[in-house]
Amino acid sequence: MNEPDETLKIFFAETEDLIKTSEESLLRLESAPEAGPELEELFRAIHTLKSGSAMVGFDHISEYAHLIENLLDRLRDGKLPITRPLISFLLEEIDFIRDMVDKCADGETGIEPVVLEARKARVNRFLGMDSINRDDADLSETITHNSIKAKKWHCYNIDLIFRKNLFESGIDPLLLLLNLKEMGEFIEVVSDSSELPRYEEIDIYKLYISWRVILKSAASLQEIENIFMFVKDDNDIEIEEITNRYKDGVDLKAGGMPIGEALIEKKSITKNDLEEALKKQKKIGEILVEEKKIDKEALQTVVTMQEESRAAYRKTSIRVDVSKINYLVNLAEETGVGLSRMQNMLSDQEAPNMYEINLQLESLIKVNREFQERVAQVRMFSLEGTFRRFQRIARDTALDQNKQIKTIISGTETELDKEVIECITDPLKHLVRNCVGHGIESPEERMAKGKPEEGIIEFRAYQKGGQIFVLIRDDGNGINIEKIRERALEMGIEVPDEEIDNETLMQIVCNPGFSTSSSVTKLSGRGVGMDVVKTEVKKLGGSLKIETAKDKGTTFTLAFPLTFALTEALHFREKDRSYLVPLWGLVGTEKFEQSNIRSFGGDEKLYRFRGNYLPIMNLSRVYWDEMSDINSQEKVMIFLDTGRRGFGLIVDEVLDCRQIVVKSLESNYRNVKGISGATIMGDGSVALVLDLFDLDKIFFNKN
Amino acid sequence: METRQFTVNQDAEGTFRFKGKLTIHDLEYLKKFIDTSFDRVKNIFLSMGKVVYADTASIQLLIAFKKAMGSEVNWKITDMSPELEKILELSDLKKELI
Repeated sequence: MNEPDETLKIFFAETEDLIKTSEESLLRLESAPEAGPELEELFRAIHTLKSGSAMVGFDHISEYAHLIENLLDRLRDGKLPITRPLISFLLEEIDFIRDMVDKCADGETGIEPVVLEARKARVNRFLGMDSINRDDADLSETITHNSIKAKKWHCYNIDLIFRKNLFESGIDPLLLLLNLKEMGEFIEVVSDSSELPRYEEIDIYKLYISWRVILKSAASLQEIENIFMFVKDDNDIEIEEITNRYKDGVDLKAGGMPIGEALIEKKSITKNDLEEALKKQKKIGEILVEEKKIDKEALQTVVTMQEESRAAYRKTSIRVDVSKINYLVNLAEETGVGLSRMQNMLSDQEAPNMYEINLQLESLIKVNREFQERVAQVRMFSLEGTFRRFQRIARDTALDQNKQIKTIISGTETELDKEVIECITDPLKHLVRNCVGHGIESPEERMAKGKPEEGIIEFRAYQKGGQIFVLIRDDGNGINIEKIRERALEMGIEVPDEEIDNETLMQIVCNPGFSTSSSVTKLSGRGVGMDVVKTEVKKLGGSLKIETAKDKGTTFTLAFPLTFALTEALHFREKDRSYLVPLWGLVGTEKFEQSNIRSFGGDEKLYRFRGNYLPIMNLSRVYWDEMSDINSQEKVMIFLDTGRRGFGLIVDEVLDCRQIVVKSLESNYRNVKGISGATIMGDGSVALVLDLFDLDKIFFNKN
Repeated sequence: METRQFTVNQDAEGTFRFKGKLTIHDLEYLKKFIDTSFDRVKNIFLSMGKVVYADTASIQLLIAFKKAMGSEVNWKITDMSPELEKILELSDLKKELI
């Protein structure tokens, strides 16, 4: 990848984070509407986005971010109140920036100028207002008005720094200024005579004065540039269109500048003046020490703490390509395999220092195991960002449908594999929309049912056993089972006559194209969704569950394995094959006891385990091998639970537990039912990793 | 022979009355006039009511001289033609000269 590509890649990745941060800050700001850390975080994100986009040449994004930055600055200064409509407005602006970034990412040249101008005018309107409680009609009127105005008038910042011997060419800057004046109105003109030497030293034929002009004109940039046609090549003439920066004659940029910089900009002082003044300025700590409010040591402690904190902040995160991490995971695993093989090879060797060699090997194996774990952890991300995004979707959906909701978020610190997060985010958005769109009732309906007007949407994540659970719950209507039945019958889906339980419901709604909505709205009812959710979740080795109750609400529970990089697994042997089962599904193991077996019609056998009878699964049946002799007293029972049901697996020998990297069978061989992949064991042999969901299906659905 | 584009006289009250155009062509004369006429005086009163144009070089010279005078000398522009005022305002140099 060449350098510009790499820069762009970093820009897009960083911008994605900045947009997420902005969105999250806005949502938090909505619940605590006051200038504070949330606003500062938002401001910083937009500011960084502005600089970043300018750096990669996406000037339209940079300019737009600049406008938003100005608006945020007004909020920081308390010139604009933080209101819900304003938050909505800003969220839309963030979406617009996201669109612009996406378009750039897709290689499109940019956004339609008309659209961009209209949006800019809208932001400018907020910049010129004290409150935002005007209706949309008023807003659209303003947009139209500003668009026309924007087309007619332009503002230019013109910096005129001429070479000292300009007079020799017979040109007088005054005449240029007069020409410029004819093009429009000078909003501001600032001369700078700081370079003028002492009278005794002056060369009367040299020019020492420079100017900065803000011109409001209907002329185009080209027309303005033409005035300076004969001087632009060998003088420092800079003309910049700043139409968006000026509002009613006020430079919006000035508000965000430190006073020193603003004075330089206005040419009231020079850079040297500022530097000298700053040198004289005492630091707050020094003043406090002088006034004996604190001692020097206390000051130094805090200064050191700040420096450490800033340094730590700077090195908080780095951006790494996932494929690089995966490569490391694989290398660590190969090293582990190599070490184990070496240990096996050395086990029957005799050497005087064999004890030390073994000790070193053990230690290396231990270090390598930790290394594998640590590398795998790099792929893990907290669900905070994902949940905040859901919160936003829920909020927007509710507003759009005039519903009132309160979102509850918990377990945001729970980490999930980055790959899982990326794959599930989009399908889950659909669930969130469903919860608000179909689940939550209108405030009137809720009141009539004796519920609070405000519906609750809950996003919860937690780890249990070897799995991560993500739960999306609403306290609304619950799924209308009868409506589901009707629709299913219409679509020709088989529906049992008896009461539909949650599991059957799940099967129905996960049929491709299933939707009960008669009309297609922008939020839901497009007839895609649940099947997509289920497919994605399944692809990731997870499971999806629905629980619904009339007028109590609906809960969607998704379960995922902790990570794909490393899986904790139990190693066992059945016949001459070696297998692994993911530890998250393991409930327990025990020596096979014939007396615990109960026959349940035909070949079906149940095994009594911890007071319950569980069906027994025999791998021989799955792989069409010769049936194992279950009467053997040497057999071992492995008890597993997929979350859907528990069952026992009868095997020859349980070996050990280990962390493995599952390699795809599909990419190396072909997809095999009941097998999720394979791994290379320490002795170089290959062990198959069982897919518990597939096994469940093979055994029980078949029946 | 080249003729000067401006004239300057001192009236009975000591005010220097400029007339015409102050341009780079007469710059040396203007400087010589300043050096000789304004030397060691406490009051410098200038009447610019009849100056119809002044170029950058001339204005720049007057500004440099005014700055050199400092606060010990009483510098005053008694009147100014609309043309000159427009030029000085346009170039933001009025504040430097008055």
